[in-house]
Amino acid sequence: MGKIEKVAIANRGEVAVRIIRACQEMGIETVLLHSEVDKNTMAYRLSDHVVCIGGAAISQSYLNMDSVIEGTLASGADALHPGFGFLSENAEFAQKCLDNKIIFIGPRPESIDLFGDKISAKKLVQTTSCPVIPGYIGDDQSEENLLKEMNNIGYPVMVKAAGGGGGRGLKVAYSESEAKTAIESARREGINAFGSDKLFLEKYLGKSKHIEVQIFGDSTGQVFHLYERECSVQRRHQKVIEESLGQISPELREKICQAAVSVAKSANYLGAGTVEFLVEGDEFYFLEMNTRLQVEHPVTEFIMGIDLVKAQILAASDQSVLWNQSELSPQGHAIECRVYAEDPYLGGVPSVGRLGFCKWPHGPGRRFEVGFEEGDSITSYYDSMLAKVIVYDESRPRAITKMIKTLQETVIFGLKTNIPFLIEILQHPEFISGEMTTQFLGQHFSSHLEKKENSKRENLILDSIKKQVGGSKTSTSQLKNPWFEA
Amino acid sequence: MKNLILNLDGERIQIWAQVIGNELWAHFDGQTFVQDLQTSSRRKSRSGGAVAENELVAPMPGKILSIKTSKGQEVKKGDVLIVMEAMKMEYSLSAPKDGKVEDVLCQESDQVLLKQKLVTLNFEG
Repeated sequence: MGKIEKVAIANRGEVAVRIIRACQEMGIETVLLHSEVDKNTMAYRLSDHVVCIGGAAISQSYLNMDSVIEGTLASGADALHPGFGFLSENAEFAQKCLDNKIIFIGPRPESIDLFGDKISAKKLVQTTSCPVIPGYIGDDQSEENLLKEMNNIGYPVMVKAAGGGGGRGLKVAYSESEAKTAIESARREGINAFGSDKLFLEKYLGKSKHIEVQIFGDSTGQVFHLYERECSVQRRHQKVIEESLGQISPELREKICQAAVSVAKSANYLGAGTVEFLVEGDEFYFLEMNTRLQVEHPVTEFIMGIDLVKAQILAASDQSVLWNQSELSPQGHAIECRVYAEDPYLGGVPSVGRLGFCKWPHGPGRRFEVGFEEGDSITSYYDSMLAKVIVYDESRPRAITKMIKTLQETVIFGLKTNIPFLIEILQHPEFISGEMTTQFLGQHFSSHLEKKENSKRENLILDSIKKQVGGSKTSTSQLKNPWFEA
Repeated sequence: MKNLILNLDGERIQIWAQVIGNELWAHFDGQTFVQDLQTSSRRKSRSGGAVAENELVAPMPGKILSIKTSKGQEVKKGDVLIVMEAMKMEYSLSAPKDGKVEDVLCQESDQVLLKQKLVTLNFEG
């Protein structure tokens, strides 16, 4: 490995923009590897070079290893950043990069392999002092045996695809009657999304917090922890709001961070990674390790004053970071909200189409990670995350207040977004108290948001706007015969 | 796009507004409003609308993964009838209340459109 001069980016949306900007600040050229339909995006416009790697379907482009490798080689890039999702946690792909003399900006293929299979990960962690969740990780994958094991563990039980992640291939059976459906569904998602039907079972912890520790292994073999994030606000096991630090005691924080470091060290880990835990009271359990940059990495960057993408690039080019564990101390509080193109009044149905005018209300301690601009299309080929809004302030209550204000000032036209939903969550007493668990959204926001009737004032304002923008425009009425007037 | 300052009884209100197709999109008071300019019906950021309760329609464009019911079957409220996929996620569509399946209007691996009828139900008897 050596100095990186040109980085290929095998991703799209806001994370592609994030990586391009980090590279440009470091004086590194970028090559965006994009699908046919992703020309109308910010990353496409910002990148120094672009290479089309295939059709809209992810199997033809972003998940097509040969096409991604060919595109990288053709562009002359010496390194590749996979972002998150897609090929970011695929050991075979990371190995293919190395075989083709492309530096893979991420951990070593062995580490990805080890943690990518959730079963081998659990087996490794069982050898460290870090506690794991009771469950079944055996080879007998017959439905009969899985049903038996589910009864042994005791309901509710989580059925997970061994190659899963990001909420995919993960089903909860609350009782025996739901067990078969959960197995079938997790298998199907596992095959469709990760090409593997292998499942494992875990006791479903009902009242737990999702706490994850950001760790980083540098090229000299040191492993740092960058404190924890809390991602308890989840919907269908997909994170919606993340924050750092988490709402846990200082004693627990110390234990969890040390456990995370021991897991990473046991695998001789290089680069950015996240060790996820479930926390119930004073107990914590290893959930999984993600061998990539996380969507929610900006909250860590805010409170630690670091840049994780640049650190990844440094580690990949054999350079060390400037950090010293004893001097790494968190400051203040950061919150991230994921803005999805979906209709909160229709239970979160994805909203696809062309983006209209957007305004991101910048200000001190406000960060917007955006991948699309006015005129860009949001298609149903990819996930519906439009942007991330991240705020930083001196304390959690101040950060919550800042986030609510920031979201209220955010303007997105043309597509429905979950912003009204996010604001409701941020104002909920349980969220404000910091005591929320992963059950929080399901308990309090299981159905769609109730739509309120417009107030008199609102209708008055809307009528006035209509007059000013020419509401009854001719373009919406039928063209009259221009020759013979009635 | 228009950025307006509206004066309402001495109160200054900052407004962002844009006409997209037949819709007026407006943002003020920390909220986004969408109004149909043709029918002049007043709606807040909301799409869709009332769907007859005895029909199960696709809440989004996507693919039918599996059909868990058949014509004539008695179903209980909450029973999963259809599993579909959109944006790489699975969604289960279930019976809104106890009743009987009148007809199944889709097949496995069909690509369906937003609001396409998938199942008709009968809640009488």
